[in-house]
Amino acid sequence: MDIKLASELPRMRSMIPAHGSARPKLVTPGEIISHDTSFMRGHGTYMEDEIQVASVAGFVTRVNRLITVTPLRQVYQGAVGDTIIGRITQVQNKRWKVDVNARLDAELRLTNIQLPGGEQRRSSVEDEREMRALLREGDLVCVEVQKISDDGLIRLAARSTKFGKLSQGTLLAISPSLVVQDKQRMHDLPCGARVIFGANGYVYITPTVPQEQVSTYTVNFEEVPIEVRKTVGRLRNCIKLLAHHSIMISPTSVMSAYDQSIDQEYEIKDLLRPEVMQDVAVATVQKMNE
Amino acid sequence: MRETPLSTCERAAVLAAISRGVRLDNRGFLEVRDINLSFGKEYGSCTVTLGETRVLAQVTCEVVEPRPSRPNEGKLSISVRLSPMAAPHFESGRGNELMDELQMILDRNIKESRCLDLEALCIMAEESVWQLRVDVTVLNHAGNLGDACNLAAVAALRHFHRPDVSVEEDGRVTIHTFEESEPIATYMKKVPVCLTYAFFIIDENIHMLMDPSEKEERVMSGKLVVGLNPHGEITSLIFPGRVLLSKKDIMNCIKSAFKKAKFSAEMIQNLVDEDIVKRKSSVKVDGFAKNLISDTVYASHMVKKTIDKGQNFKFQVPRESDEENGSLNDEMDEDINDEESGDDNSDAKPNKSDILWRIQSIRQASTKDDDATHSMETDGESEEEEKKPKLTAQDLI
Repeated sequence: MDIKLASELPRMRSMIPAHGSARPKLVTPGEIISHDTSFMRGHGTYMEDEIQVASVAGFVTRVNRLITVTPLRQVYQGAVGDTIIGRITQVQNKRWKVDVNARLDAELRLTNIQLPGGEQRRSSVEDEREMRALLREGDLVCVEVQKISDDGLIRLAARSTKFGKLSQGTLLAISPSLVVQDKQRMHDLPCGARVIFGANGYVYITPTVPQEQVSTYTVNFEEVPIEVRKTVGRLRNCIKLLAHHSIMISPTSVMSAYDQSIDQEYEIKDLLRPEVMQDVAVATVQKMNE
Repeated sequence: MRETPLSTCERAAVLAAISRGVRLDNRGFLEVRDINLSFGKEYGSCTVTLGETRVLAQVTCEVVEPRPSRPNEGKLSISVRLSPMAAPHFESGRGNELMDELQMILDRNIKESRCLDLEALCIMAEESVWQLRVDVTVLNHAGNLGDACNLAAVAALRHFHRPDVSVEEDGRVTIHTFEESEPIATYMKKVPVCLTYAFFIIDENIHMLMDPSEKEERVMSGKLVVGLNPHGEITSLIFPGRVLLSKKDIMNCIKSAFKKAKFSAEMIQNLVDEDIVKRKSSVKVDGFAKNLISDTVYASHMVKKTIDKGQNFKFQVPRESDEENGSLNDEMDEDINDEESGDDNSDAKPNKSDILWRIQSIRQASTKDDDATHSMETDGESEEEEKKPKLTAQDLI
């Protein structure tokens, strides 16, 4: 058994190349941004005795007369149209409560999902009683943000066939700030797996192989071949190591890390070792900068 | 913050492991985690570590007027607080059912059982009595808060010394400082102990575990919290959850609890008495400073604990870790002279790792009794659990 102490690993120097003026101005809460009262105060700032002060830790952006501080890491707030992944926590009257890594559990109404057996069917009393047959506590779903109310409650919808209950795969939770903004969230990677980069930081890796499903609500439990499972495992470890080194997660960076790990002939379990993680991360950044 | 929901596969994994007679941390089904007591600078301040669960209890006293219905008795009040430090889903201020449950356990076990002699706290009948207040704060929630809170509160009460008082002729009460006259220990007639049994219903069979960890608590179907003292009295019995047990099963649980209770109570008494003796003899008291070990030391201690548990040999501190601890030696050298535990079981203990062998000797003290009450081999355990759902006394002994 190989046991090592993580503190033995030498500290890594920052991987962001320092360009001088290109480097954004980082502030911490309480730091003074400007003494000029003519600036409009945006999100992340507040006024104290005519001095503009930052209220979150992040970098300062200035657009004309508006100064905002965008936080580096934030709990997922939700944006209309985002594709996210959630886990059902409760089955309530005509709706489900979904954990989406935000401050509150989001809401998925029975009327907002695509019912099995035909398009655009109105939900009947039987459907209300059979809600658990569709989605029960603990299930993973891929959904879309429909609306965000004033108090932060996110309302979800799963109207088309690409949304709905997720079948066999692996879930990974990373910080939502690391997920690159992308219209297309589901990517079929060339290595044989499909990855869904949820905007809320939940990433789901699923094999493309057993895809025939009766409906979006029955999971295909056909056994996944070992090679595909290895691919999924390797991808998962790659995403994990990129997140650990605060590298933005996008299909390119993930594939780059995956290819690196195969070129260097690292075993899947080796990708969990701190020195290997650092190695692959540095190589990925270098490759992406080229 | 809300609690992150437990995923379906984690839940299934815990249940599948239990149905095969294995726990996730490789303990026996009736094995309790390592218990560690440490005391602060003041009397009545105690931290209990039960595995990773950590609870702090502090006892303070005040002179007040007694209750008119009981003019000869002092007062005792216990309060439990779940701080967000313990777990992200705890919210300070808002009461939740876990806090109510812990409050109920402590009230029943300690207050209502009358284990503390309240009449001894009386200074002048109908005029002034001592009011003892126990504040229990949960520092880390890693499962089984009931047992840990009870341990902490009882140890803190036992450890507590109140100042000496003298009453003048005109009725004025003078409270002496600890330097002027010796403080008085609290007298605890019976030591209440709390033990938690978790039940899991898997395929119509009921499996029973002791001292559930946090994951096991989230998956369990029900639990039985038994509060009792070694004299043979049951102080509290709480049975939340969705499990149906027959009266016989509960009686068998209680019988097994009695054996463990005796050992637990003795352990509290010994550790508290040792610390008091040490406090009286030496001028310098370290308090909790000893517990503030840095990351490197804690990491190496956890690594050695895992190796030791897996291979069951008396460990020796390897050379490399001594070099790591090089910079910390100066701080730790001061603490070497204080030996927290009396059991000198493991040989080859270098001075630098007194924390390590303190844990070791407490574990050995606990395994002595554990071996007597149940077998450590997993064959024995799985045999017990594979039998019919009824738990008999035979299974638990």
